[in-house]
Amino acid sequence: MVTKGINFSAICLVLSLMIAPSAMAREFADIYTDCGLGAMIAPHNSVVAAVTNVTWDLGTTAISSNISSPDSCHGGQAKSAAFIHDSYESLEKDIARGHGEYLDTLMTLTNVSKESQEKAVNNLRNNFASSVANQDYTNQTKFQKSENLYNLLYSQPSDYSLEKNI
Amino acid sequence: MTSKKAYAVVFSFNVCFFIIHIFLLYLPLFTNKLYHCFLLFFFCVVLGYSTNAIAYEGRHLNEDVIENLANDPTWLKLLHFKHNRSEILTEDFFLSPEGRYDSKAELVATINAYSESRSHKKDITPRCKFPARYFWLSQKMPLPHYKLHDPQCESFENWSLLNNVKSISLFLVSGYFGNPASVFGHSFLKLNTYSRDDQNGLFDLSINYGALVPENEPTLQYVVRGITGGYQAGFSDKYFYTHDLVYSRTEFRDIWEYELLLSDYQRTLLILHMWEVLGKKFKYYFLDENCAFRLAELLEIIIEEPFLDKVKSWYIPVETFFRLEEIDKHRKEKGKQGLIKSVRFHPSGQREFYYQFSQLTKKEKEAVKTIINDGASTSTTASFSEDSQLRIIDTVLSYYKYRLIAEEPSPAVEMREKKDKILLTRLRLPPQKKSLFYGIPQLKSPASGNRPMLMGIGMGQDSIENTYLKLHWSPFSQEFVGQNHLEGDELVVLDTTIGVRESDYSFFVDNFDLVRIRKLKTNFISIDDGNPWSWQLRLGTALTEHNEKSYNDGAFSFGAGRAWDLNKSISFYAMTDAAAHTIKPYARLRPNTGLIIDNNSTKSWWYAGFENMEDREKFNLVWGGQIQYKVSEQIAVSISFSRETTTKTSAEVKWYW
Repeated sequence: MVTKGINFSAICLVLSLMIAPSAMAREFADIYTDCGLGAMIAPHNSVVAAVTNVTWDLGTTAISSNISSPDSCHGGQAKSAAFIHDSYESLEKDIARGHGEYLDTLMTLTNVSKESQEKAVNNLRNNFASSVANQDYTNQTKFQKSENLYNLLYSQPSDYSLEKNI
Repeated sequence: MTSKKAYAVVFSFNVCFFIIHIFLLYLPLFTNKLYHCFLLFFFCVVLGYSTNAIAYEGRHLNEDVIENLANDPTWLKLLHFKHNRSEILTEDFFLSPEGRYDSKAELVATINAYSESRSHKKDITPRCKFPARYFWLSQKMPLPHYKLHDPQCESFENWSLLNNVKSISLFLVSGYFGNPASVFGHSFLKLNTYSRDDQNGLFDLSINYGALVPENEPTLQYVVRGITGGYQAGFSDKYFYTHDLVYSRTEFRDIWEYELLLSDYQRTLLILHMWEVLGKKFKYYFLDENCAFRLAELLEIIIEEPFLDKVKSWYIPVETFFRLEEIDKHRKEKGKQGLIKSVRFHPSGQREFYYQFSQLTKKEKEAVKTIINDGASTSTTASFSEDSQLRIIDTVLSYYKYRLIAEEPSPAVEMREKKDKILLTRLRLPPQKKSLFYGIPQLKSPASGNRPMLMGIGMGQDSIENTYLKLHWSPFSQEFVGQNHLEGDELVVLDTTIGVRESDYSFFVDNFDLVRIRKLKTNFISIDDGNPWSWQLRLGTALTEHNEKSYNDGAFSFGAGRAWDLNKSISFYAMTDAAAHTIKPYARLRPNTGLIIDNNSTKSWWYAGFENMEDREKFNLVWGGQIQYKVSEQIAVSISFSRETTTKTSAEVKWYW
């Protein structure tokens, strides 16, 4: 009986260790590495951008959609991370103005309820203003800026109903 | 041909032969059983004699059924058959080894694979890989236990969100002069979910078709291989926002969205088939078998009316949209439901920014300029109301965003610092729930203007040939005076005019333009310190008079200048063209001005300038004009006059198709 109890406890411990990481907010850097963010759209390279119509690489398409990317890239956080990284410039402008379709989408991606959205946007704007006020902001890479915005979003107070896992 | 696959002959010829033989040999002994024997014989001959009848789920499908299904137009379209072979190059698109060349073999293999064990082959069974085939077959024959939503096909279910897709839209992206391959525009599909969580549809799935071009491909090689079939191509899927970011916000291209009116069956079949062809390789031909062609092929699977039956040697994206409009119109004329639910205009980032600036008051515009030039935002806007401050700062922020994209991939640090400064200023001002700028004018779709191909017939008169019959043709003609969406621009390719002499009915080339482009930046705003120049380019030949003889004068000319909208219907430009000619003087200059007047049905173009056309140092006046009246969607009449080296007058009837 005792042995069974120990075995059961051991199984629970192993299971809990396996489940635990997914119950925490995933690191932006992990998602970046696992899911290959940035390969989703043509880079701002004039040569590549110029031939956008004919250069969609089938090898990279899976990353962006629901098709065959790794399971770890399907969840809301991975989706948010990719979205932030790819559309950072548009998000920056929308956050500054307090409205816009990219900001609306980001809010719903992070499960901010409609009722809480105004409050969440105000909070995000305040925190984002502190980031922009940082002297290093201009020289930060797109990765760093995206990571910072991602962290701001996933450190919002829980009453904005931001998802914390998936 | 294994029994497990059930691709087996039920009653082979040998079995039948044996039974018939027994029947005939022992006929006298079985006379009392004659009726039963006859039945046996009939069953054998009618159902079993064919070696191609197949066993399927305990039933037998005879030759006729299989033959009919194998030649069904929808089946052939699902296999992308053309000239008795599939255009798909990927081997695993076919279940039969002969599937690429034999639609019947592929059909039989598909039917037989239906019952393939699926308990341990999640996602990779034929039913999961080819859902459109089975969906279509389920309408044609009983498929036991068929379910549209198969729990085994998890990947497909995740991808398609089949129950969530409410409609399908076809997008037309305007031409892009930054790349020769994009000059004629682009098209792609989008699956609209109208999700409550994604009301802007940025995460809706979009299906794009494009060639696989290696990175850093040299331009010439790229063009040659693109035209001659040197690349493979395929369908890829992206979230819609990635297209929005590239086309609208990076390349500043306008987009028109055509939402289609489809039945549930049509919508489902199309989505299922997209899954089947995603990632499959085709051969790419820039001129005809391109993105527009393949998307039209997809539409032909579900829409009864043909899209590609009149394809010439080329096919450009706008042609699909002309066809959509045409089908919609015909259906409505017959009292049926149309094909187009709505047409929505998505303005480019540049158009939005220009519109934003145009909505400011004069004082606000001055403030915007001051901030851009001097950088001091707070002191400049202090005297303005809060609303005005927001409009000014928003516009400056839009300006920097626009300029930074235009300067990619290496925008100056100074520009980035200025942007961040204004970004912070805006963040410290109150947020707005809605845009301060709305009501951007809708640009009519290119498919609501003239069709691109032009054919004309008329009379011409000049000082060399006197009066002559004029035959005019161009495969792509978006002229100044035509009805198009180019807002005063012009793009004409292979513009050919043949003259027929009245005296002896002989032919001569009156005019041939390999390409003629005129790009007028009439909406350029003062704060946009990007390229303000309008430009024109022409490579061609024209019949001209030289030393009282007629010659075809080949010329390459390029000009640059500025253009302005004088009001809503009149544009004005001033340019200087430099040209190389094949007859003297070989090098010429032509400072010139022009007016384009748009009165809806009537459009005209007038120009005047000076050119050293007879002597290297002496400049002569050149002038001319053209006026065109739109009779119907496809027909127009045009009169033109020009006084240059040769004086020419002509009148013609044009047919756009």
